[in-house]
Amino acid sequence: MISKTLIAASTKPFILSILVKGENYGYQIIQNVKQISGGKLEWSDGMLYPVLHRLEKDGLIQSQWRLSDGSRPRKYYCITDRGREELEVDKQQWLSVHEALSKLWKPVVI
Amino acid sequence: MFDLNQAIKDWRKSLRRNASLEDGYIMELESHLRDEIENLSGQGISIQEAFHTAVKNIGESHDLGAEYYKTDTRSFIGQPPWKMSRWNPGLYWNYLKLALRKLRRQKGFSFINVTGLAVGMACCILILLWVTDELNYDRFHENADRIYRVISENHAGGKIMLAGESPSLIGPTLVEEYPEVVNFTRVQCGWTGYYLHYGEKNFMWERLCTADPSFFEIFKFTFLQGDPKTALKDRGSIVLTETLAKKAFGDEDPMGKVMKISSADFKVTGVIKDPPHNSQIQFDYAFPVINMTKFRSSKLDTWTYTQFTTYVELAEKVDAQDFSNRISGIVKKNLPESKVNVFFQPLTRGHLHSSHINNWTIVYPNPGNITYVYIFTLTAFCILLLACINFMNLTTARSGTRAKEIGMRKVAGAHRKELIKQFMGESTLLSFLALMMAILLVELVRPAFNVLAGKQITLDFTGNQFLFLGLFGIALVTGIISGSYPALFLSAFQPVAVLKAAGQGSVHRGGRMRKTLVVVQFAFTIILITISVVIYSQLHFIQNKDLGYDKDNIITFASYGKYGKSFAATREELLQNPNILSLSRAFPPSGGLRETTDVDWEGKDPAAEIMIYTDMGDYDFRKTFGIEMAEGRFYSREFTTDLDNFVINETAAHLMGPGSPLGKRFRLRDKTGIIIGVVKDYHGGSLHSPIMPKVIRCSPEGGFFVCVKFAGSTSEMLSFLEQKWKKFVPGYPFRYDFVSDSISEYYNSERKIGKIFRYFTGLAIFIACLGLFGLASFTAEQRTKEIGIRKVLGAKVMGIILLLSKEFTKWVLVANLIAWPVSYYIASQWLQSFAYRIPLGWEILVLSSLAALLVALLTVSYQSLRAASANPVESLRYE
Repeated sequence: MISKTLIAASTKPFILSILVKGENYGYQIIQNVKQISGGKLEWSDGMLYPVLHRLEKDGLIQSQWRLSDGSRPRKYYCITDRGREELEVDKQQWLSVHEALSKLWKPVVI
Repeated sequence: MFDLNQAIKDWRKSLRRNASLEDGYIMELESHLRDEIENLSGQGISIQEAFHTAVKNIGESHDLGAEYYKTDTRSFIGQPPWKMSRWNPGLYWNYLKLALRKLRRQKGFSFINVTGLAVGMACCILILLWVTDELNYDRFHENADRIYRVISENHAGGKIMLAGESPSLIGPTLVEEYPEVVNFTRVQCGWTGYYLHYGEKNFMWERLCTADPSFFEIFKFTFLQGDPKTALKDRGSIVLTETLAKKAFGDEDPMGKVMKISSADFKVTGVIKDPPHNSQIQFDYAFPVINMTKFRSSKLDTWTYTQFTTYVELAEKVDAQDFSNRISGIVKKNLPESKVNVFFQPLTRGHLHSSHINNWTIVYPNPGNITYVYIFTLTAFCILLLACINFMNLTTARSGTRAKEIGMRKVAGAHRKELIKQFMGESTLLSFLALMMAILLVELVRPAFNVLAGKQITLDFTGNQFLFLGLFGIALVTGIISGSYPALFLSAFQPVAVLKAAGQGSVHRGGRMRKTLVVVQFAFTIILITISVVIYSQLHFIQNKDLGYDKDNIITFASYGKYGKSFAATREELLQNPNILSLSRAFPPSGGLRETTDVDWEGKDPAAEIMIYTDMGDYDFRKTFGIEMAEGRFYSREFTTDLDNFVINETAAHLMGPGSPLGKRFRLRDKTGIIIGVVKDYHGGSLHSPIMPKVIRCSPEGGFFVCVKFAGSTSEMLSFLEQKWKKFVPGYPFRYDFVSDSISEYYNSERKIGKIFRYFTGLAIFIACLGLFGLASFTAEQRTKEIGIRKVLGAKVMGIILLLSKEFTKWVLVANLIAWPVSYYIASQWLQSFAYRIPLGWEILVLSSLAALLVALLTVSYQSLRAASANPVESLRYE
């Protein structure tokens, strides 16, 4: 299991990265994350929605109610230009952290 | 059978209970739930189980709501959203509305509150203006802090005598020998004895300032015309004030015009603005000091002539104290037989710190006193405090009516900090309202106050940021102090207790504090009353004390013209008038003291240095002033040798040892004679000093004044004397004085202070009463029901009045205990400055206390009476 703080910190880049590939709705986003992480990343489902709400308020994503799969209404989200910029910044930060940590953890050759 | 739709409906309902979850959010969550259930049931789980798992996965509605709340109410000013925002305009608007509403609804209380505070502030402002004015004397000179007056310190007759005058050569020597001294000027100021002519116009009584040419370089009086550097350079130059120039020349240009003083020509070289009222140096015209060598045979180049005041200007960054110590022996160094030390007094201290300098009040008619400045400053703040105490008292007393409001605010989520802010804000609003009123009041009474205090105080904001800031500060501090107690006290109310008790019981909590405040207030009032009474009775005492000579019905005027040149003839002519009882050419005893140690007599201890004071008069001196003889006789025209003889007073006789001094040889300066008489002691000068050993010199033509003792109508006598004056001194206006007036002038500053003090005492009493009145009415209102029940049970009106008054009486009595020692101390300190003073007995203290008590009872009685005579049916009806 991955710690709660780390999950909370990574929620935003996850959402944005998924939305970069195309518009999507809440349930599917969660499923995608589970799939990609091989079940290691588990979100408590309800908590995703306030985060989506916040991102929308901040202008990083946009939403739209749509009828799909017959009669069920779903709220679809897509990323905005500001969202893309924000993702780029986030990406750089995560990569630097990753790079630094991998350097440290490289097996030492004697 | 499990009904999925029903289950989802119930679930939706449970979510709706959370206010943070809006319909849109729930709809999205439902869509998620349905997806999940679909997914799970696709894996072969029963629908019921799938529903429960899905609901569990979504999470508790409480947690969800909290998350949404956070995103929805995110604040833009960095405060966490669950904390109250700091800036809440709506609330402030509400505070303001409430404060104004309270003002309107409780008109009486608001009036007492604001008026009390306004009057207190007005007093405080007036006193502070007075104090600032006193402290700002002579500061308008650019280098005021580098100008010093040389004071000489003479040890004579076992006493230290300080004099504002110093040897003529001290200034030139200092400048020559010490680089620390940049400039000096010798000054003689205020002399009114010269006639000034321009054409047909004659001027008398204009005040002369004679000084070295550097005078206008050191003292920066404003020149309207002419150059300060050269104005007094030539012997025959004269500088006029604007007023005199206008009087003498009208619209003509005064520059270069020639005026005459005793046949000497003076060319006008400058016109200055009249010296401001806060200048110690006051004059109407100035000419170079060199002229005095001719006019009055003054000596400028000797160490023995000590009639000039010397001012020096020190270089920058000179330690004046240290330098003053170094040069203190300069007179002895140059004049070995001298016993005079000198020291520097800063110019800016001259006005307030010179009361110990000999003859000071004669040289400078408008002296200040630093003690009064301290006392007044203290009084100002005490009166302000008094007004604040009032305000606090009334506000806390009324707090009962606001307890419910506070309870409601607290229940609605107000923090204590918010409430404190609200009440502080409210009291600050009121105090600023009071400040507006106070400024109006000050503007209204300022002219009267200026007359009273002999000042020209203005309330000018444009040129005086300090005043503005000061007033602002006073209002703010008053608001905060006044608001602090109610704010802290009211905001501590427990909402449950307050709302349950319907806002009644809680007010008693402030009772003890209120009592203490009232006690302090009354203690202060009693102190003020006592001091005013002491000042008043002491002034009454000294002005009615038997001085040992007759001061009434004596007119004095200068011996100018024929009065000077042929006094005998004019005397004869005046005596034709039967209403003139006696006539003497003299220095009246009210005119101050001239002292010397250059005396000797038979049997005097040669080592003893004794200071003897002299009066001067002709043969009729005794008769005119009604002085009685103790033994021997007074000077008489029948004995030509009397010109060399002496008459002394009892104190001097006592000093000379046992046995009659009659017939003993006596020497005064260069005159030796025999003592022919002893007069009974009389008080010359002011009663600040005791009776001094005195010699009356016989000098038929030496006295400067003609003193006329008369009977009958004063106005007839004056018109008679004026008519004669026109004959003997043609061309000059008649100026006269009454001896009784010049005596009372000695106590001018005390009288002024006494009057100001009396007014402020009156105001302090007013403020205290206002507070007491408000408090009494509140207590009466509080106890309406109690009084009603008492009356129903048979209490009499009188008994109820006593009941209500008893409490206040107790407080006033306690206040006495504080007030007595303090007022006794202050009053006795003040009385120390008089050689003759009233005894400070317990009567004055008791009297002031009784007065305070009476005032308190009268104030309370109105409310007590109203409460006591109310019909119990009215007060008990709503039970």
